[in-house]
Amino acid sequence: MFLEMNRRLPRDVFNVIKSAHKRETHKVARTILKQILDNAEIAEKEGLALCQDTGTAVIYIEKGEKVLVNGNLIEAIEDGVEKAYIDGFYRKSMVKHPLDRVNTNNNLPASVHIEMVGGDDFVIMGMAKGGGSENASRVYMLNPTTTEDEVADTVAEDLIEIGGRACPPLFVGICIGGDLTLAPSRAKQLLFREVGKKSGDLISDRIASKVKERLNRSGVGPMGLGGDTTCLEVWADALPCHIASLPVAVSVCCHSLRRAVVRI
Amino acid sequence: MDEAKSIKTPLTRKTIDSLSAGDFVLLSGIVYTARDTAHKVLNELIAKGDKPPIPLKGQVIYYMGPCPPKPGYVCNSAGPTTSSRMDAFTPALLKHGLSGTIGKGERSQYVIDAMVKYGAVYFSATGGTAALLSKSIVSMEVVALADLGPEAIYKLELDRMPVFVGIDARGKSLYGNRR
Repeated sequence: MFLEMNRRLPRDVFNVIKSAHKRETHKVARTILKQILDNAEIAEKEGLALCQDTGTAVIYIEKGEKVLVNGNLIEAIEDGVEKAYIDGFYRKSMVKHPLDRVNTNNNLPASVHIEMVGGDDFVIMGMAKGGGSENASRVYMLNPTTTEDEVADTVAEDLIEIGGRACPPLFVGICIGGDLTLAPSRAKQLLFREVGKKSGDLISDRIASKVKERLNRSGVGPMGLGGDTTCLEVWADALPCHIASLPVAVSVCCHSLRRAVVRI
Repeated sequence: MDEAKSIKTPLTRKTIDSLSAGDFVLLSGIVYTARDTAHKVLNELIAKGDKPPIPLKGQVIYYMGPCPPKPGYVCNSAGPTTSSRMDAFTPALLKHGLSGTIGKGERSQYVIDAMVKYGAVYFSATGGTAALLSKSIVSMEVVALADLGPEAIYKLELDRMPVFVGIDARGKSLYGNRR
């Protein structure tokens, strides 16, 4: 999964960049979008990593209650990740301790999240998540009286402030509600949604369109060098939360959204 | 783009002054890589008065940590990392003659001020186009801090690597034109 993912952009991601390139009116921005499309073609053809930052291996699993797993699931996942990063000649980007910074040399540990759900499906969602855009992600603890427009403005203004650092044009997942544990986890999980797919929660969907529209009006542009294309897609969803709270988590991904979903 | 400027490292003052924010540049010649830890080490050496392991005068540093060597390739995927993490360490290097940096994203105002003061240019390479950018790297060797793996200091020879002038030596920047 991770071997393939780091070499080939998902089709919905490639296509949304291609449409943005057609629409873009700034010269520098058009050149950058063209470089991104050319890069995807070279990477796929030659089996090279799309980006030298081949990411932290992020894995979400939805395990149906009727599915029986034999053996150690985490160990099996990590064996697969390690093999992909070695066989693919991908960069190992994990350090064992955040302050002594010694590389683990196998890109482990992976960031694994397992959720028990109803039914008999077993869904594995994998994402190679780069560090630059992860650094731009954040959690807000807003006042519960904050309005829908204020949520959208806060998120949009801060994403504009980040500018070119997170490799725009961006993909953004926003979780409104939940708590300090659930909100960022769900925000990141939203990045697995297909481009164009809505959450069905009208308020969240309005916030998503507002943030996207505001970013694309900002002039930040590809790599922050100016242009019409700052954001390729925003997905938002809501979770119940405490009466005193209004957590909002924003998970940012660069234009190279490398992810895959397998349903067994 | 049709009006690309071809330039070669090390950079002369004349070359630096000829570049303006927004220029599309094809960069050739030797550049050195350095990321966070390498910058910290270079700053510590300079502060102690020791000689850095790489020349600085007229040189260009590329903020990049490549994928590991792949058989049949001079250099595996090799794109820029976020420049602002190197901001705190950059003025000291500019003071000692560094003439250019390549990375992605905005720089702090104090870095721009130091670029104007010492005469340096900041190039933006397109993040997430590492396979494309690696095609412009014609040779590569580790020159210092080998134990840091991807974060070591590499000496690269470039052949027409596509970059944009993000900030020029007069302090003019393509960043920050926000609506």
